[in-house]
Amino acid sequence: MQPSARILIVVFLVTGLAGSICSEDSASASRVASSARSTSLSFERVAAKIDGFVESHWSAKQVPPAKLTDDATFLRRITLDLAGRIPTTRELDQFRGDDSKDKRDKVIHRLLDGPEFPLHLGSVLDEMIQGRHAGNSDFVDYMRRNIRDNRPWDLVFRELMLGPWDTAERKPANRFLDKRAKTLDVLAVDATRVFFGVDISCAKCHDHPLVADWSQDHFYGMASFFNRTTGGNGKVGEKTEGDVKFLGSDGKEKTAQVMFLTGRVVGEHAVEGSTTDEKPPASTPVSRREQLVEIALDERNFFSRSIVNRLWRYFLGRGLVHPVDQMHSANDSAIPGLLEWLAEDFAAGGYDLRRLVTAMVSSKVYQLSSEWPHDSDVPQASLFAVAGLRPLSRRQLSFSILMATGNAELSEPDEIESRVERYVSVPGVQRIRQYLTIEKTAAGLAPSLDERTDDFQSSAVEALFMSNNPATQALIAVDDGNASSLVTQLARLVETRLLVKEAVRTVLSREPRDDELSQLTDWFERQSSPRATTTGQLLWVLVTSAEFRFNH
Amino acid sequence: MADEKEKQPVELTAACEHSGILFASCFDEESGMLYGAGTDAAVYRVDVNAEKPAAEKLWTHHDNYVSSLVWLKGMVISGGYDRKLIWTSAESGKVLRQIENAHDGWIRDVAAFPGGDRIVSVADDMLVRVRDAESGELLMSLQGHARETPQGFATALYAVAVSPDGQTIATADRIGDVCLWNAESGQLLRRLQAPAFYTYDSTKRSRSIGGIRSVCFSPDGSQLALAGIGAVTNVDGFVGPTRIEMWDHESGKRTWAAEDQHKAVLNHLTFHPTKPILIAGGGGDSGGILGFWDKATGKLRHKAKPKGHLQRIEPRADGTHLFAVGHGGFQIWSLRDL
Amino acid sequence: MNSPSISTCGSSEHLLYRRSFLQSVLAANATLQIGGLGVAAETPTGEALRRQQKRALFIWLAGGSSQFETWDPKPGRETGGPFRPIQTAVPGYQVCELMPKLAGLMQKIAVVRSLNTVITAHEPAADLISTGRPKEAALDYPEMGVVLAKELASQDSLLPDYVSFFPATEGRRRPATGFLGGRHAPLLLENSMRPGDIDLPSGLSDLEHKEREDLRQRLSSEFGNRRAGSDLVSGYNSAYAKVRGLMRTDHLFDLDREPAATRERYGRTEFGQQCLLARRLLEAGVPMVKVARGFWDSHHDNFESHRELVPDFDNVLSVLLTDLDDRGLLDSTLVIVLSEFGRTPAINKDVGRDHYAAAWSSAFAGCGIQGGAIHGRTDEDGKTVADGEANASDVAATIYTALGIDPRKDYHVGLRPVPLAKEDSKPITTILS
Repeated sequence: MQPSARILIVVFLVTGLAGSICSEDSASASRVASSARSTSLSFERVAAKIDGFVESHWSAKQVPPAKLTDDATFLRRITLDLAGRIPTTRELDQFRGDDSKDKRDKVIHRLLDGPEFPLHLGSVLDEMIQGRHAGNSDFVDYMRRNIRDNRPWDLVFRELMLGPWDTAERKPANRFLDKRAKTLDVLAVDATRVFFGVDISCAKCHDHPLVADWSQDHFYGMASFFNRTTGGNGKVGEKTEGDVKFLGSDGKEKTAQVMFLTGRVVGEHAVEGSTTDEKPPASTPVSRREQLVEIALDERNFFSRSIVNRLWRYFLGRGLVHPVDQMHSANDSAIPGLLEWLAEDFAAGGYDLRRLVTAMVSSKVYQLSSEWPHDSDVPQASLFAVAGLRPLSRRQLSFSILMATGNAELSEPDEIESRVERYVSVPGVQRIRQYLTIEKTAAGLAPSLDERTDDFQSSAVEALFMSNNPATQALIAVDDGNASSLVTQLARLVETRLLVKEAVRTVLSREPRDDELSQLTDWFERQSSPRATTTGQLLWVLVTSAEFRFNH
Repeated sequence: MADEKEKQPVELTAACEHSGILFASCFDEESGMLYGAGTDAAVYRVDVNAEKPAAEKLWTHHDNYVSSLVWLKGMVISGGYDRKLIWTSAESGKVLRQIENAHDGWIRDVAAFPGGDRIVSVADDMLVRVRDAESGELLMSLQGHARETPQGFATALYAVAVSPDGQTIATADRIGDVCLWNAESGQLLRRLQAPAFYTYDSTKRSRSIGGIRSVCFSPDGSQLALAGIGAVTNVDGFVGPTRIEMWDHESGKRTWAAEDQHKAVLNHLTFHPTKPILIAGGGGDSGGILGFWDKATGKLRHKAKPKGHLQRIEPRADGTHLFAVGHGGFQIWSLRDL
Repeated sequence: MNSPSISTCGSSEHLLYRRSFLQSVLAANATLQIGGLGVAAETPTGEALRRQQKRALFIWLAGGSSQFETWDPKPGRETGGPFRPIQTAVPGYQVCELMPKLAGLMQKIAVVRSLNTVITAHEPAADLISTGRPKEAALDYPEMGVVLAKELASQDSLLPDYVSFFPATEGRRRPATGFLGGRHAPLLLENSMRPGDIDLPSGLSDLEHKEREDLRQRLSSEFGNRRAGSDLVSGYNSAYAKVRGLMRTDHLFDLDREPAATRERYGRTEFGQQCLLARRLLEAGVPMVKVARGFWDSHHDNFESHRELVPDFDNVLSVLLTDLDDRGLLDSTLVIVLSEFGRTPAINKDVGRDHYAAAWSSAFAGCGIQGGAIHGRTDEDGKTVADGEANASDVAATIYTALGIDPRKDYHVGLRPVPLAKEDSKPITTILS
């Protein structure tokens, strides 16, 4: 889908914030602070600003960056990052055939406006937020809807923390709290890590041994926002009293102050130093979580930097602050000034995730090549002067394996289906259905694959699985009953060169180089096995190659 | 839980607390004395006719759990995990006879012949031993039960009963096998197989639980009732339905099998002395149970909730009362309205 | 490197950490590319090489075995149960009568009777015991077997580093690799006695299998050439390089290769078979093997359950220890017997015992262990520890020390140094040789 123009829709909504526990009424319209939005930078300007910061840094460090990556690699990279899968050969050909100067921008917007982006980013955010509790389809779909409707991140945060959780659509939002409500430590630490980018767990027993910023008061201060929270059986509530008591490292018992990471302390009835004079009537109980949301958005640096940093890590392979839950004064951000600027822009612009993503992937630094054909050492990752290899996540890999072997249907809607989509006003319905179908099949392969983590390591378990498991071998076996499987289709081709070319195009999403084509063709012809078997072998080699395994 | 407004057919009338678990009991009809013993190896006595029955501690002759008691002509014959059979004078409390190593394993059950001339004991050596009731002389040692479970683990021989005519002995084990023996010759007459009483979990826990914990002949001697627990879903506990099977032991055919949702093992069952009712007691995941089944059909007529979990029950010969022992002590139940 | 004295958690600052943190901050400009071959890949020194010939066998009694019915009987007490104690080869030390063979071997075994690990829920307790660490929200600790596999494995071995057997589904634990990452993930045997995916795919010849791996490897190496993240590529390739070696270990898992007499000795139970397999693997040089025997959670009918479980355990473990000893392997193999907790002194109304972590036992034998050492005591009813209290971290420290691994040695997670054993843990020196 190609938008004809980028139109900013400004919606005016008045909301009441201070002192109330209920949040705003309308959940479906994207809410933007009117004044902020109309003066905020376009994503192109943000992208340029990102590049500006980065390029200054490279100059200062005298690091020559890698060149921009080629078109095919770009297409593959952006499709994996925005849709969670490799491109189809049709998409590849369309892209190759496009001569326009802004062809990359067009792809970016095609993907962002398409139905798959919310499905993918929704899952990514589910994993980011829920960690070991990720994968619950209600919560995943809730996050997917948030992305589809481009709901601002601060609203999503508010909804995760406070609700309302009254409708079927909003109910899954309580799951972050609900899964953690029974263990205060986990709730406090996870919330602080995920939403504020800070790991305070070491500060529980004593002032943080590694980070001067965090003391026990910070740990218990954050815990105090959550200690009245109840839940664990699907229903999340909040008691009206109760304080956290802890043993200081001097062995004496203290009652914790309700304190945010910045050191700002909360009183019982008002947030100290807040700009509003409104106080709730004496009989209205104060919700600590409401206070947390208020402060977090008021002192918005941690909140905005955390999500910006995490998304940066997602797209660029490494956070600006690394690790992403170690934001503190001694841990400098990699490109001086960039995270701070980007986060402030994000907050001022209404916490618009789509705008942020668009800016990041439109920047040059995102589009650098991962090749380093120089004699000098590869610059370290914190310079972002060359794209790193990013392992595909289990989801991306299993999905892409099915596509690469022709075991996944992603087709354009036919005449009837298009008409259906127009009638129900849901563009992309067929694609959504196909995507979810593939995702379900892929879930069968996923557990045996290595997960994308910060310290990714390949295991023999995945290698054995890909090498020997009947399920994976079936994907590359000739099956006359499965006409769409790639092996079956390719095995019919008489001309080996053509066969090899198609294999490379489908699996690696690019044209083969001439020398490569010759090498592989020679290899193919040398094999004494039946043609169908060798075809399967070739596919296997390509699907298990490092080039396929990593986003490069 | 007895609803005070509605009249229950059975009613707990007295209870005597006891720490530990009582596994064994026997009742002297004449004197109205109920004896019990168990984990602390001591024998206790309760005068069931007293206004406020209380447990009186008598003697401690065993070195380990007492598993069964038999009342015989003024003597209490006891068997225990210490492998001993001990005859004690009820009046004096003195040991009259003691057989060490009466078995090569925990003695699980002892029964007296109706004529009072012999006793028979079963133990984890998987042997059935018949002795002279007075002298203790070993008359027969019968081997017929498997010495291992099908999976190669230790098994147990839980229960023994003698037919009312004294001609047949029935013994039952952990894996659900019942042997019927000619009481005179010791010949193995028949095997009955009731594997439903034994659960080996090979998937989740790699071990077993269950067993036929009690066998009892019907008053006319034609039927044999077995009690235990049915298929257990979680072998960490008695998490399975109570189970009773009724067999025509002469033909070797099962008459009926009855399970109830109440998750428990039935540790002991007996026939009501005067009515066509089976009574069994036990306990498990659903709590304690004292149940009453219709003898002909196996239908559960009434289920009472005892204190604690029951190990053994003794109905009074006139069927008016029932005595039970188990975890928590002695209990006296009225069966008048059954 | 000198280890300065370590202050315990809850008192003063962690001088050690502040110092090493600063050191690593200064060193931070060195690349911290951790992907690929593994965290802190070192070139083995002579001492490390010698250490690399050591092995460990973790016998995990899942569900909580009863210390009363094994290592710490309480005869004559209400809490003691019906089993009687028997003398062992260690004067003055008795075990439950269900373990006559181990009793005879007690000069080779060390017992810790004084564990107090507090946690009595299965999963958290299993995490605590198997990692030797209380759970932290932000740091995923690896299971000890994974750590040992990493420490003991030789870099270019074609054998799996770690094989873990856990057939019972209840309480099944998959050794967590935590922050150490996938490279050290164990080969899991859950449903069979052979690893999955080591058979040649049907319809494919061995030659075809090799041909395609060779091509895969070539293409991948070329791709990694002159590219950022090439260490990720080499790590990826080295995972595949292990495949054919692992496929060739097929014979190790074939019990038919053992003489019938040996198989008889181990017995025909699943636990016996697995311990025999474990011995084969250890003998072949697999450095870390875990055999889990589940599930000991005898809430009801505790004595019947232990009558079933303990004699099998007694037979198998004694045969295994003797077998290792006869083959000259016991001195270099650390055998660890652990559960997630013990069982209650009180016997409940279903003649069972429930979970208990305040006083329970574990046992060790082999490498670095002082056979016949009995550490710690519980009170006469087995309710509390009377002497020599130890916790899960102390056990971990003991295990590392027994194998010659410094429990204070640091791994690094990002910039954070993480010692193998918790900073305030103390190895139980009584049982160390």
